Amino acid sequence: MIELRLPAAPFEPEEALERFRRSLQDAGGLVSFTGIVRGGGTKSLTLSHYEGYTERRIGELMQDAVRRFGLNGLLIIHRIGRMVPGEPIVLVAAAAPHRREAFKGADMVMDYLKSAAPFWKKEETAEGSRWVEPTARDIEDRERWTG
Amino acid sequence: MKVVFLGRIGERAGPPRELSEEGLVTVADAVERLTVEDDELASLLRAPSTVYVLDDRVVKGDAALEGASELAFLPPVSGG
Repeated sequence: MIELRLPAAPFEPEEALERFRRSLQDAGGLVSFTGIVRGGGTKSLTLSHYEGYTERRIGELMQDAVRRFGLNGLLIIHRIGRMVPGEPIVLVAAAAPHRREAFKGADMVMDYLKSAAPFWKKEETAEGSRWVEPTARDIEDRERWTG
Repeated sequence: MKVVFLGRIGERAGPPRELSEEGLVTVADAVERLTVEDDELASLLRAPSTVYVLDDRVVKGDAALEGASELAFLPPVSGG
């Protein structure tokens, strides 16, 4: 199963992961990553996307990851809208016949999502708000998968 | 055609709007029309980092608008 969801309201990663696991056939390994909105000065994050375009670009990445690592299934749930620290922002789950491919699949998808996915993120702190751009580290991480 | 502004560009330009294609040939012409009397929006739309998307394809300013239904202006992405 390949599934992408971009909910505008909070979601439960554990429930989604369990449903995904039950849908799998012939998988030998399932790796998941849950990203949580960090506190440390952040009051809120607001994520926007370009409806349709964002889904298609992430969909292409998912097809690429499935082909590259022979995944049995790939699930991405990524929040949009306003979030506060402690809330899950992303769940990535990759299933493969063997563990190595599942780890790599989840890793590559996360690196892409963090640095290149068409999202626009505004961070609100006590000092005001600002538009966030990927860090040099985020870009470096993504480049591990090219070539 | 429908024109969509994302991220910080959307903050300046507001929600999607309809733009009459009359007298417009290229994306650059659309930029010209959209930014009349708005220098700040002009500099955002003309920034080298701004990406133009015409019907789901990334294009340059010289791309023809004919037949297209949606034009979007994307500032650098934040990632998720």
